[in-house]
Amino acid sequence: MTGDSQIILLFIAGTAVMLLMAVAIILFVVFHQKKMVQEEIKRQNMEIEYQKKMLKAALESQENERKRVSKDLHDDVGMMLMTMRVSLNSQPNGNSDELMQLVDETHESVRRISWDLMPSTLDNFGLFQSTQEMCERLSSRDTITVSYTEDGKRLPLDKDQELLIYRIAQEAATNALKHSHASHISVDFQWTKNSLILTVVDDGLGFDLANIKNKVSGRHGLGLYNMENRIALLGGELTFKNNEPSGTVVSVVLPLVIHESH
Amino acid sequence: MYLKFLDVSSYLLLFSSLIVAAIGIFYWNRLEKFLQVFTVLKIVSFLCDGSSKVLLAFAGVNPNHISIFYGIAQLLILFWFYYLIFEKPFLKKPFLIVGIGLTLMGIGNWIFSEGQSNAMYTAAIDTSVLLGLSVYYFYHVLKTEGEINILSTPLFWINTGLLIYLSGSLLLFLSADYIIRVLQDDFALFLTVHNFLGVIANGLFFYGIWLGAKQGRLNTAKQ
Repeated sequence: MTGDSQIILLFIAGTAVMLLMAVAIILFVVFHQKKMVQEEIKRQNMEIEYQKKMLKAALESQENERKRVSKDLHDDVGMMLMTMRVSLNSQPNGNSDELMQLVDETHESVRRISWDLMPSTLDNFGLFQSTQEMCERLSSRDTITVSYTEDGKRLPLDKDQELLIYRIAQEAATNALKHSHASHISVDFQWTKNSLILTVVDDGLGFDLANIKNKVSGRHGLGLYNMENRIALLGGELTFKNNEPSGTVVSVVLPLVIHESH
Repeated sequence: MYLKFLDVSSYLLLFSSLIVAAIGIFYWNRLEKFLQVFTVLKIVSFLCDGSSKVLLAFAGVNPNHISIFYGIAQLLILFWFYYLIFEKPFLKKPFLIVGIGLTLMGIGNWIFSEGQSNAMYTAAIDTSVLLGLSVYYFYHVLKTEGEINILSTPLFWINTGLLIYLSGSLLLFLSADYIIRVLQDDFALFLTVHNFLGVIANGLFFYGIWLGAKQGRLNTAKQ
């Protein structure tokens, strides 16, 4: 081999080494960065999971407290009022009618508050019966009619999911009742192959979307905030739309994972 | 034998530079500032390569002066490009000092070497500095951008192109003087390698600019 060809070979080898080093750097950067991205995603997922667990624990403790208060109201206060009514009944005084009416009204209020806090039908008959009952109760309280409809083939839900969905429906319907000045509210459950779509429609005043968004993001509307949290726990999506010709459509899409039974 | 390859490769390089410059100009408004700066580099590159070819073919003039001018322009534009990328005000002074120093050296060599081959040593020094900046960019990415998919950033592709082109060209610039003096006939081979590296780099630059334009359109649509 001549000196010239040796130099050429040396040059080619040197250039090849330089290029290999460049490629090695590029590959290292790509793979290392990919690993970093994966670790970051893993960390974020863990954080989300932790937040979900915290949120679930907070909501569970809230529900337990509601259950306890509801039970106390129903069992203790309700029982005391019943006893009061019986003893008033046995009094020969003429004032007892007014007192009886007052006791009856108080008893009714206590029963209503107790039911609102934790409907017994939810435990005993499930989500749909209790939602229907909620709509009937809301209808009977005011001059507003609240209707309930359900469409599609039901998918199995566990108790936690039922409670969360019930609370979302309750919050949406109560919000419409309180703020929309509507004459009719409809609560609709629509089942699809792998999700449940809850729609609450009213024919009231409608809303300012920016205002609602501000409230949700600013955490000013506690009801909306709780609703958003419950939807997040179920991995769902909440949307607000203006209803035609007037009113609001609150739509919640809840993806459902079907657990196959073996 | 190598001359044919050299001809083909130099036309390919010229054509690929034109395409990169054209896509940069076409999407100019969508590009971020650093990509606009890079497009300027490709425009200068095309004009210099093109005028070299014209001078050599029609006037028989040695285009060394144009090559040296391009070397200085490339250095300054790439310094500006990397300064914009790193977004660190404290780098302004070192960039200015090194940039001015290398430019003065380039101009000095240009004048005193009268456009002859020993100006290649300046090119080798410039290439080493730019190679350092290119590697530093990757280090910077690993330190700062852990959450972004690097393959979806235009800068990754442009920097990859630069790293491949510069690392393949460094030895050529270092040994150019010797090759021209001793292995005159084989110089075409070395230039052919250099041109093909340039074509590969231009392919990567094209993809980077196209990606930048695409992202610019998405950003505009979001606004």
